[in-house]
Amino acid sequence: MNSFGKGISGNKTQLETLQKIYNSNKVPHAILFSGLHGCGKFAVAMEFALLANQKSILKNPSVQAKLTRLEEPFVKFIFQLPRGKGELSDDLPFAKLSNEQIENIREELNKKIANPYYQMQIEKANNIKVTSIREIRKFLANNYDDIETRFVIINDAHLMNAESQNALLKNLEEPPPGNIFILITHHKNYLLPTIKSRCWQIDFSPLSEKDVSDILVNRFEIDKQIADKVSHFSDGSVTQAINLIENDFEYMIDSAITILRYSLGRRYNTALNKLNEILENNGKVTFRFILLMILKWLNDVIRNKIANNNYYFSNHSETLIKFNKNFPKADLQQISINIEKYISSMDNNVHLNVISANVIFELATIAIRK
Amino acid sequence: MEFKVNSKEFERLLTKIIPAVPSRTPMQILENFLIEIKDGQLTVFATDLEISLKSSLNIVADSNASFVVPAKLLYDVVRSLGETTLNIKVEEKGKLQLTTDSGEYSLSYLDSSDFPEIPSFPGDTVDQEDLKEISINGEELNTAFLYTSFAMSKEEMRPAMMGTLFEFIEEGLRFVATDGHRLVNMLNTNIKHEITEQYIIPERAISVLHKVLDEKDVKIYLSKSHVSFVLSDIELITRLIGQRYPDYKTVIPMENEFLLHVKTKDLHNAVKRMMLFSTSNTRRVKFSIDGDNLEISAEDLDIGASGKESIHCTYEGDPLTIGFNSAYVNDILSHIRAEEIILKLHSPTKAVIVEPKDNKDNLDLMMLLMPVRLNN
Repeated sequence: MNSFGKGISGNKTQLETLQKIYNSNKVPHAILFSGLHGCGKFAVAMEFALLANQKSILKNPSVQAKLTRLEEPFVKFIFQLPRGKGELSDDLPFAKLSNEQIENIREELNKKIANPYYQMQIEKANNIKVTSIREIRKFLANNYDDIETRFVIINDAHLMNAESQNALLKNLEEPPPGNIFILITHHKNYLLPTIKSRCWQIDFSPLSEKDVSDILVNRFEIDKQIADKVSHFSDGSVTQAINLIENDFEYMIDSAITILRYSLGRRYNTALNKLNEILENNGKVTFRFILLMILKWLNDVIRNKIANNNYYFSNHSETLIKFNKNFPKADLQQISINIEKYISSMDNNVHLNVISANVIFELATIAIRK
Repeated sequence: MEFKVNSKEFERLLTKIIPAVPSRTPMQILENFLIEIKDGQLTVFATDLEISLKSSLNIVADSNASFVVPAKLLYDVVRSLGETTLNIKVEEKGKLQLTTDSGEYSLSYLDSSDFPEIPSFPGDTVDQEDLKEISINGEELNTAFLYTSFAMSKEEMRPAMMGTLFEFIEEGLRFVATDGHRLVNMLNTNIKHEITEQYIIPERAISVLHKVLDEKDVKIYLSKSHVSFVLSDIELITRLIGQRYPDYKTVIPMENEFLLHVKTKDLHNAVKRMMLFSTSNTRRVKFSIDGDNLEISAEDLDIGASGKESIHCTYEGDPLTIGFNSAYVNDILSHIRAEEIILKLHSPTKAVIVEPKDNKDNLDLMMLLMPVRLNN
């Protein structure tokens, strides 16, 4: 029996590496999966948990369901949690959570179990509690011989603060035999060097457009046509693709083009009003995506210039040609860098209207430089 | 399928099982009872994945069934019924119909296959070769828990200490619990068995058992990973702590030659009063022993309060001043249950041994308390 990785789209190199590690009988006790958000790290981790327990599954097929259901004491799944009302630092992770919070967690957890590519969205869950990390010690202490290997999976490990990471160190260093830690993160740099140095690191690359599209169709039941279109804009991330779909992808494309038109046509006030309207009606997330799409448009213009026809906006190839004819000397690279800076300044709580104005003026410089 | 059960009997059964149902868990299935009806026996299971409880009741049923029902709802319904005959009908479409003389109640049930597997003792799910079986009187076991359980550690840093050690030795069964500040070591020479192994029973199992044990014998099944306590009407199954228990023998001092005899009640009352004056973060009390006088004092500099008491004792040794955490002294004195105790001392920095003056038959109890440093 070796069906390892058969249900996984993409990540072939990572799967091969894990298969080799497993075959060598020298599986490290801690593995760090890092890479773009939504590129299938959790799905691969679950697949590896099944591979590492294939003998137990052969002996008792119900083990497979228990592993995939993240059932303790087979798997300890650690994830970000909200704080409960009046919660103290010694309270158990779930002890002070309200019924609504527990219900929300259950729903999200069930979605994650059903679909490993699903991104859990637990309300007000901003970090991994230190008490969740302390519970690992108890999990590891229990006598266990039901299966070959138990797994501690820490999802979004970068959401552990310094205290939690320090609490994890001792267990990570030397867990009892038959226990493997998998830390999953898309912000490896937020982890302490002492955590990283204790883990065997596997980097994940963005998924191909086809893989993203396949996952959208097979795991999220998205229409194939939409999946193909969105995957083009997903940057190899299923999470990004889902966000685009949830935020009305077509509307965002149209809005990005409209803002470009207004800005280049020197209708600055109309462009500004449009962005403000988006902010008011659709919120910050859509606003961010639209700015990212404007960047992609500029990227397409550069591609057209260097005769690379793999466009994001493939339906607008004629407009791209016309653009390059009209603005041959525009320094698109510098403009893209500046817009990127404006987008990242959103994380620093810069007022969004200021960002809107700056983006529009930045785009306007294209026409002025003509 | 359909069966009848007396509501009071059913309530009593559910009351025994409900402590294992967790109230806050991301795994919804754990908030349910697993009910199995097999060959005229109704068995209810509950688990929080740390401990599992099961209990059975004889019923008249026309066939076998297995289903999962919301624990709290079923318990509350049955508890509110008063004494009556409850007719339970398991319908095919996931509905459980409860009927009494005056009412009809409908509950949804789930398939039992999603419920976590609970090992059975002795049964197919446990490796028979490693299975050990022993019978202990419930009262003796409860006494052991009473003496030892308070000393178990509550900190996760050393999980082995979050349980009570069952050490089978030639002389009997030794129970040991420690949190690093105090240690209880109790040998019951009544319980003898050819087993020569150590098992660490988790704190949660001990605390649940402590509430349900009675004077009847308890059958204990010990496997490599689990232990099962079979009482007359309930079975508790728990995973063992798989870590090595600290070598507690090395911390027991051998040279404590100064002996202090004191009435437990006198000392306990004095310590309780001094706790009111000890600083809230250190809880420190000072024992000054000179001749047959034991002076206990405490001081809280933050609020400018202090207290001092003298009690009569019999002391054989050099004058000594030693500090303790009053909460730990209080714990020991609350649990030792002897009219008179002996404190064995050596120096202000060495652990103190506390023993009852007269150990009960077949019981050898020793408690150990670490001192705290005094400022002066």
